Amino acid sequence: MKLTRRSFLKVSGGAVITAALSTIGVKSAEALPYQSIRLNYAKEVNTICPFCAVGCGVICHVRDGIIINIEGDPDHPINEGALCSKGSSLINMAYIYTEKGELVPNPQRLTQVLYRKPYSKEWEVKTWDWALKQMAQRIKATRDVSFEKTNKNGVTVNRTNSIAWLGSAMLNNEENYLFHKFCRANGLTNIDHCARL
Amino acid sequence: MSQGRLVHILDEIERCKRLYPESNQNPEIVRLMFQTRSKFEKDCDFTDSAWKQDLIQEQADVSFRNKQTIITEAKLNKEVFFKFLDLICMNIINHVPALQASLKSLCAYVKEDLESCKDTLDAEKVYEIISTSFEEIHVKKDFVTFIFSFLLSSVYQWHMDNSLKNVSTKLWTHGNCPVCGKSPHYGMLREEDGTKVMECWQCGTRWVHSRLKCPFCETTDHRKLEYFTAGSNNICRVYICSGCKKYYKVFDFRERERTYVYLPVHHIATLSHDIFAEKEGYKPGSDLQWVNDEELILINTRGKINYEIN
Repeated sequence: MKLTRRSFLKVSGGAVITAALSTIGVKSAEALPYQSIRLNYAKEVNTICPFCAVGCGVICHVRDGIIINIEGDPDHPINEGALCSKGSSLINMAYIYTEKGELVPNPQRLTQVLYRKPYSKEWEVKTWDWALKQMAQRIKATRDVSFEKTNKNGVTVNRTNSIAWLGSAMLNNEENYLFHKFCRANGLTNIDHCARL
Repeated sequence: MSQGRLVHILDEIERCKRLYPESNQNPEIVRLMFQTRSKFEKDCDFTDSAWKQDLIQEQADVSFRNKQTIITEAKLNKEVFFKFLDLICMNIINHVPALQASLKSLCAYVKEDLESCKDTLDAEKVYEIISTSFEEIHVKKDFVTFIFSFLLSSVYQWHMDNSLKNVSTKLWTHGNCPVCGKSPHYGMLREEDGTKVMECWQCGTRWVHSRLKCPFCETTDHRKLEYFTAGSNNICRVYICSGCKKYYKVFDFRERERTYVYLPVHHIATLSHDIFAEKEGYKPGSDLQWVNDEELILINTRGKINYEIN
């Protein structure tokens, strides 16, 4: 066999101590300190703060479907990572503190549609489809019954005074524009909002 | 490297001992490497026409807008590269005499491979050596990666300090380095706002990258992106992408004291996280091989690392 320079290196290399980072103390290859180490996995999910109309970006750290931390989204153009005091405490919407100071999921938090029939004492679990359909039907029924084409002086008004619309403070300009259009198209006159900004 | 910067790096090495007590490392060799680099820098002239000198911001911005990195074909000064390699090996041998034969084999192998090159070395050729040397000679992957990534980063950073120091990378939104084009191995969360800032392991350039985006496959699907921390230490997060099966490390110092942060030192101090990531089935997006096969087998067979997954 012809012993080339390369094969010589290969042979001679095999005879020497195998150099690794553990040999020079940079890495602990035996990894004894890592016994019983726990890998804590989490996902980062971005969302929008539900409190006000500013619409700050939020990153939720989620572990096994449970939010473990919330921080401002630095990539969001509105808040660039910052959050107000209410936004910073967003996690408290879903969790409460026990007497021992532990954070546990809030048992009072509603996670599904609940409906109580007139005169009933019990709440029933319903689907969102059912709830939206009910709302549409009831708005139409109320409007049909109470719609006024003209007022008592004979002036055309095309309105219903039996429905009131209250906008949320977390709606932005564009959403408010659409809701306003919807209300006016249906003849609602009692339109208000609860803006806090 | 200025004396002040060296002092900062040495302080950072000490700080790492406190921050990652579980890593149980002896950072002496890391300290030695940086001291060697500092001394070598004083004696060498790194002026090299193969590098773009005095790049103005406008030119850089045009490149970034066209999704082009600044350095497209890096040429390294052969003489400087070999001299520095010799010096590093000599210092390691002085520190650990038992490694003399291994390091001599490694140096001879590299020099033989690069002999045909004239005055300059193609960086791609060096990457090739990194990936083949551990198969050809009996030196572990992590050891070769350690030496050559240090060598390359030193050479690149000398040039960065001289010609590209003040170039802003604001317009760059991609996952790879805006200057040299390499994929990152680590980054950090900026203290002021939590922005993810990636740092190139090679040229040291820092650039902002979206928090919820994989720098390698650029997916933004949060169902594919996850991170883990190991044990009680929350400083080092390993971000993984189940889409491309790659990982990178991100250091979060936001709850620590404000200080100068030199990430390569933190990366070396948390090499255990690379083992965990590879054990979990992910490969480094940077393609740097910091984990030896035996370390993964060790976990399986001897059960020395008993880790639990939430």
